[in-house]
Amino acid sequence: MLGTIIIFSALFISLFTGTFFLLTFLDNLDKMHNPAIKKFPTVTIIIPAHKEEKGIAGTIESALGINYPEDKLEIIVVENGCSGDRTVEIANRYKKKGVKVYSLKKGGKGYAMNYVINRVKSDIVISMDADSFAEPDVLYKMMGYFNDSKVMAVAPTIKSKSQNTLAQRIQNVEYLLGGFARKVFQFIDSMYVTPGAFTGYRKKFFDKFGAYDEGHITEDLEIALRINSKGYKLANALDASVYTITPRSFKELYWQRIRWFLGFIDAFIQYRSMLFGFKYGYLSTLVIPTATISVFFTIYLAFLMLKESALMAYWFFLDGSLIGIENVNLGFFTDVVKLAPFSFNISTIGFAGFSIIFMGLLTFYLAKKYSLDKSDYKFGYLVYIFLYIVIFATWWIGSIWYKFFGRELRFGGLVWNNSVLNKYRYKLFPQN
Amino acid sequence: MARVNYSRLVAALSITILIFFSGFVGGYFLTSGKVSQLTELQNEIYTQSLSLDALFDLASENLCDDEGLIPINNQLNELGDKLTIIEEDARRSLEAQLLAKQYVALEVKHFLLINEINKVCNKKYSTVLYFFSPERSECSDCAAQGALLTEAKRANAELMIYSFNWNIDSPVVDRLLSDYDVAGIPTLVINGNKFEGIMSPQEIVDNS
Repeated sequence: MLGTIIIFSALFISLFTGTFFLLTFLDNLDKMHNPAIKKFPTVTIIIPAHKEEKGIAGTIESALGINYPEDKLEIIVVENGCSGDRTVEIANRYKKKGVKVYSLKKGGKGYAMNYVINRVKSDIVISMDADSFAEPDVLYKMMGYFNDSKVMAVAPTIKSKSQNTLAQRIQNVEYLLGGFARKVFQFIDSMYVTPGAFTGYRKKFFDKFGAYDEGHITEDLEIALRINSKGYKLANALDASVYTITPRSFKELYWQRIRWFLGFIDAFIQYRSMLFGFKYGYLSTLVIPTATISVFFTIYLAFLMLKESALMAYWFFLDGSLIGIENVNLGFFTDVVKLAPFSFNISTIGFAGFSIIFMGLLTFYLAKKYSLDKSDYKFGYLVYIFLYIVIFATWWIGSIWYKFFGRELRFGGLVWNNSVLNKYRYKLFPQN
Repeated sequence: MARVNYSRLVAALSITILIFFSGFVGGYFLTSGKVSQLTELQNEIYTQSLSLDALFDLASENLCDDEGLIPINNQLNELGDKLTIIEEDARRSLEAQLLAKQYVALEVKHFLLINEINKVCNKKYSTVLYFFSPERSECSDCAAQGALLTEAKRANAELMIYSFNWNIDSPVVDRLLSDYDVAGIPTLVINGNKFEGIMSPQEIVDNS
C-alpha cells in the first residue's frame, strides 16, 4: 500500500513538473535565439591545470581557435601543483601566441581562479577546464546574454568528447538533457548550476560579492547559488558547444559524482534558506523541492527495479533450468498470442508511466534539436533510462553515506575534510 | 526573479490530472470488459459442466468417452488462464472475486467427476490439487511451481491439475485445506497423496 502511494506520488509529481517544464519551453520558443552582442565585453579565459599534460595542448589550441575580437580576448593558463609532469612545459609553448602562463605552488581550482580574477580587469572571466574543448563560435553565442545587466553567468551546452564506453554514452545523454534543463530553468530564473567545464562569469559579481569559495568541494555550484541568492540571473546558450573528456569507466564516474553530489549537499545546506519556500520564485517553490524529492523517488525506484529483476533472474535461471528454456519460451509466446487482446492491461500507473516515457522522448528530441547535437544514440536513450535510474541512485546513496560517515575525500592532489572543525562540510584541508 | 505564471502551473496541473483520470477511466472500462467476457465464458463452462454432470447421473456410455471430456478440460484451463490475468483486478472488483469463487467450485466439480470416471470407466486419470498464493511475499516459489506444473501437464496430458488460491474466501477451498491438512504453500496433492514444497515436473509425473 505504501509502495503504491509512493509510486503514485512519484508519477504525479514527475508528470506535473515535466509538463510544466515542457510548457515553459514551448512558451519561450521565440526566445530560443541567442541575443546578438551589443558591445563586445573583454573576456579572459582562465584554464586552471593540475597535472593535465594529456589534454592541456588541445584545450589551449581550442581556446586560441575561438572567434572573438583579438584585442578583447586573453587566455591565461594557471598551473598549480604540477611538479613532475609536463603541463607547464606544454603551456609555455603557447606563450608566443599570446597565452599567459602562471605557476602557483598551492593547489585547488578555486585558488587558481581567484589568483587570476584578482589580477585581471576584463568584464567577463571564463573558467575552462584543462580537459575541455570549445567550438570556435562559442563566445559569439554566449556573450550576447551579458547584454542584460542582471545576468551574471552564462553557460554553454557541455558534450562528451568521446563516446567509446557505455559510461560515456550515458553521460552524453545526461549532459544533453542537463543543458536543456538549464535552458528551461533560465526561462523561469531558476538556473542553479553552471558546468565547471566552461562557464563565463561577470567579473563585477566577483568584485562585489567575493570570488570563488576556495575550500568548497564544487566551487561552481556555490557561485551559481550565490548569484541566485543575490537576485541576479544565469543564462544558458543551448547551441554553444564545449566538449569535455568524460570518465571512461563507471568506477571513475562514481567518484566524480560522489564529489559533485557531496558538493551539492554542502551547497544546499549552506543556501538552505533560499531552496524551499516562496521567496525565490520557481527555484524555491518548484525546481529545488522536486529535484530533492526526485532523488528519494529514484532511490526507491532503483531498489524496486533491482528487486524485481533479481526475482525474475532467480525464476529464470533457477527454475528455468528445471523447466527447459525452449519450452518456456514457446509456451509463453503461444499463451501471449492466445490471450493478447485479453491481457492488454491498461492501468493508471501504466498510462502515467507511458506518458512520462513519451514526454522523456519528446524532451530528448527537443534537446537534441536545439543543442545542434549530431551524435548517434542508437539505443542510447532506452539504455539511459533504465541504467541511469540505478546508477543515479548508487551515486546518491554513496554520497549520503560519505556525507555521514566519510572523513575525507581526495582529488586533484588535495584533501577535502569533513569534520566537526569544518562544521561537517567537506572543506579543503588547510594547506601549508 | 521570474513572476510565478499561475496559468502555466494550472495548465500543467490540468494536463497531469487529465492523464491520471484517463488512466483511471481506461483501466475501469478495460477491467469491466474483461469481467463481462469472463462471465460469458464462465456461463458457458457452467452449462457444459451441468450437462456433463447430467450425463454422469444418467450413467450414460458417453461418460466414459474421452471425446466428451476434452472440450470441458480445455475450457476449464482457458478460464483458469484468464482468471490468472485478472488476479490483480480481483482484489478490487467484486465481480472478479465472485468469478474466482465460482471457478474454484467448478474445479472441484470436475475433480469429483474425474474421480468417478476413473472408478466407473476404469480409467487412470491422475489428479493434482495445487494450493498456492499469488502473493510473492507469501510464497516466493509459487510462480515457479505454476510454471513447473504447466510443464508437467505438457509431459503428461492425462494429468488433471486444479489450482486453489488458499486465500480465497470459499467454503470449498476451506474444506479441501482441512481435508488434506494443508499447512503451507506450495502444497501438491497428487492422487490423494500430499507433497509439501516445490516439485519438479519429473517428480510430479513420477508420483502420478
